[in-house]
Amino acid sequence: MASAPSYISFRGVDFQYTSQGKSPTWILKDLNLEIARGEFYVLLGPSGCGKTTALTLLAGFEHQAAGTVSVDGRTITKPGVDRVVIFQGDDSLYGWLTAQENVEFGLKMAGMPASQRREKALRQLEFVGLKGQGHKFPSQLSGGMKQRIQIARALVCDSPILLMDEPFAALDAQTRAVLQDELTAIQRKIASTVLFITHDIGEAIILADRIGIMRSGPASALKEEITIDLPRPRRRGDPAFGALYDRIHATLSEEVDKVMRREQAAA
Amino acid sequence: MTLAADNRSGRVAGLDQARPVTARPWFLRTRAALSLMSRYTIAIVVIAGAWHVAAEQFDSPILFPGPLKTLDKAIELVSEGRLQGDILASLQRILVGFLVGSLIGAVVGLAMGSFRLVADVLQPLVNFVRFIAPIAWIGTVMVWFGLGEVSKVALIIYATVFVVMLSAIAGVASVHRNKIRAAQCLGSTPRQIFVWVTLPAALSFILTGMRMAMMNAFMTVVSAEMIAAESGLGYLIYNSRQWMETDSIFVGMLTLGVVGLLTDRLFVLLTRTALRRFSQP
Repeated sequence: MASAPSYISFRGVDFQYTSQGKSPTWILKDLNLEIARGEFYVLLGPSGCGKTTALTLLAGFEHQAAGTVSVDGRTITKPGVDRVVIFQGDDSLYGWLTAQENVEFGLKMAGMPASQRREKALRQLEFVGLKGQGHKFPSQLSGGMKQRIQIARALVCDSPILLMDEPFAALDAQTRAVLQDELTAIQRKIASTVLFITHDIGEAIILADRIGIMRSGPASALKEEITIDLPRPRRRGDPAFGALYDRIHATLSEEVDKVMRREQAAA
Repeated sequence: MTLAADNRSGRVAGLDQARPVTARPWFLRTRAALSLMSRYTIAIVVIAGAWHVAAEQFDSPILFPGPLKTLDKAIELVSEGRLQGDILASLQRILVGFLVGSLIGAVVGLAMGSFRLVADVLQPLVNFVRFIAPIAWIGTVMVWFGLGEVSKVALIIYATVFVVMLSAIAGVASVHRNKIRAAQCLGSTPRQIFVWVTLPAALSFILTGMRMAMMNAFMTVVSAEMIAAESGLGYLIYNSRQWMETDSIFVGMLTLGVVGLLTDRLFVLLTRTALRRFSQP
């Protein structure tokens, strides 16, 4: 996969964050990252390492200080319906719209007629396991179902890239495992390219074609990339899974230790 | 105004919409409603009783009429047809002023919340003018708008506009960043984001602001009717003062309270049924 032609690429990306009255902090420094078309790429790292920032740049919400972020050779300048984000938590859902109306949102913005919209939304709701739930409001649905609405809302737009920012982090362990399996199945079926952010090593191994491990921030970049070639569906009890887990855990622990040492020095 | 007491399930925004959408139908709720009614009745009886005892102690029906004397006066005013006319006159001023003021407040507030430039230009003006009570404007308003209805309605607009404006600004500020970002991802233009995300998300704030503005409008109508009025509850109170008709003053005050309460209930009922879905962020 790593040698496949690049589809999404981050080249020499620097990003700095300036909060009022403080000197700017470098979040990312010289981030280089290539993702192939159809690849499931997981960005893994300690909290505060800038992995969400990388996704934010690809989504077009923020702009890097230096370097380029591009998709299929086109430089990213603003958000687009070819890169729909699935956010952590339910703040991005529209509470005054039903599940179905939420799914229809992008189609409505594009000016699609109501009947066509409804048909596509219903099909998509069924696809993500929300058949018969379309008339409910988000507040009436569980955390897992709300994340399914977000996934359906992205898929219905035929977005070739899904940007997932720790989408399952707020869910209970059982629901998370179910959604991980379903996401794998969905991604195999529709062959979209996924950039998935997480700090959960197990989740990364279950989902990824390739994992990029980030250094601890500030001025973070990629530390190591690991291709995961375990057969799917993957099981946590598999010995190969355990070996990979230990290896990634060791790499990540070095970074977490660095953060803790720095915090102790500062205290 | 019972914003806090209405929110028994502990949610923010005082719109009485915190109940689950699948609430039981009214006929299953009659028993609960009856027990609530009996509690209200007890409260009213206790207050009227205390009033009666206090008035007896004071022992001067002219300076401090009790509830029965006040009720007699109310019946007299109704039979003369005066009280109904006063209620109608005041309600008309309140409603016109409230609606126009709410509209201006919502539009300006949404603009201030959405555009930095508008906020920076208007903020200093709004933030000091809103501390000047409507009654302070009476002289100026009379000179500018004359002695007719326009002056009275203008004062009520003034009393309404800032509350709704501030709540609209707060409403826009409360829209979660991810709602905006999701809309951007889904291909919305800035205008579409305003219409389909910001506006519906801010609506519950605006409605709460309107409810508080309604209270201001009722309080201000008394000052407004000090301007050469010939009818209205404020006029009734103000005019009775000159003849020391304390019982008529009490009738005017009680009527303001009751009509205010009923208007507030009606507003809540209307928004709860028609705009329920917008109570969810």
